[in-house]
Amino acid sequence: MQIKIKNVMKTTPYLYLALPLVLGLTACRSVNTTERANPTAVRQMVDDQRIITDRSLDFGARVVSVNQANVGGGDLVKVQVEIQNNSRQSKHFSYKFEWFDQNAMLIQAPAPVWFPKGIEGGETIDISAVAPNPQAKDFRLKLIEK
Amino acid sequence: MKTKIKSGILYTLILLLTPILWVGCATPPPPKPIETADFSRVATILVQRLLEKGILDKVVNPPAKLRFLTVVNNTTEHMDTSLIGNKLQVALNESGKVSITLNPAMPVDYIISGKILSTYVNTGESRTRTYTFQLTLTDPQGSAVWVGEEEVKK
Repeated sequence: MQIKIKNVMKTTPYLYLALPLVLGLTACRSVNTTERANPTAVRQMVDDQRIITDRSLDFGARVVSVNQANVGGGDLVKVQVEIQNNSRQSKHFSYKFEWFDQNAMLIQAPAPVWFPKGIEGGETIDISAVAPNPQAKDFRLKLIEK
Repeated sequence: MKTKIKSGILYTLILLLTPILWVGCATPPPPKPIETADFSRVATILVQRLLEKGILDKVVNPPAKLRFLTVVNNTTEHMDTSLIGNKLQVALNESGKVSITLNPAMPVDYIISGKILSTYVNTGESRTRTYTFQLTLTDPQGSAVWVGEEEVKK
């Protein structure tokens, strides 16, 4: 009988530990992706430079590539950024595009806005923005964990 | 001794299951109200989509002359639609692609109008309100040349 009591006492702490682990594992899922091996579209890639201050965000929402196109009447720049979640957990973040004119001055109107976004584990998504006017030549993308 | 063991297991189970039961029985919170930041996001997205299409660039004498009608609130909530109306007008004006006229007698290339609708879903586990923002660009003959839509879930 004493052995049984000891067993129960031994198992109880493990049960307490196991519950959050089981609950945590159910939140863990990731996306499988399939796409054309040789895409027909031609991307105009943009060389970028990055400042990483949040390593966790960079792992869960990493900028893979940046490409651009001219849209509208051909005088507006559209930028598309590929983001990949390298973890198995979903990630929530906000992003904002700021635009600059040919003198590198920030275009304030319309004011840049933060957009909330979610990305599943292992998923790749694209976020994009169209320049607010033809004077907007360069951009800066900011990401922050939500 | 057996009773003690049984009650020990029972207490453990109760302790483990209580938080789960609390979560399961909790009433979901009501949806958050729509905010000015949502209007800013919607206005930015819809104007970006309109500019991207290049419709405003196709007028004979640019910039396109535009008449801006009010944004109609078709929801059951009180909403100051001039907030989103102003944000749309600012974004359109700053694009340099339109000239918004306030004179109703002046001939225009396009008329732009907006509408806000909402649906409410209560599943028991969650309560969600979805706002649908519609923006329509019509020519003076009344044909819709572009329609944009954006949803905000709360």
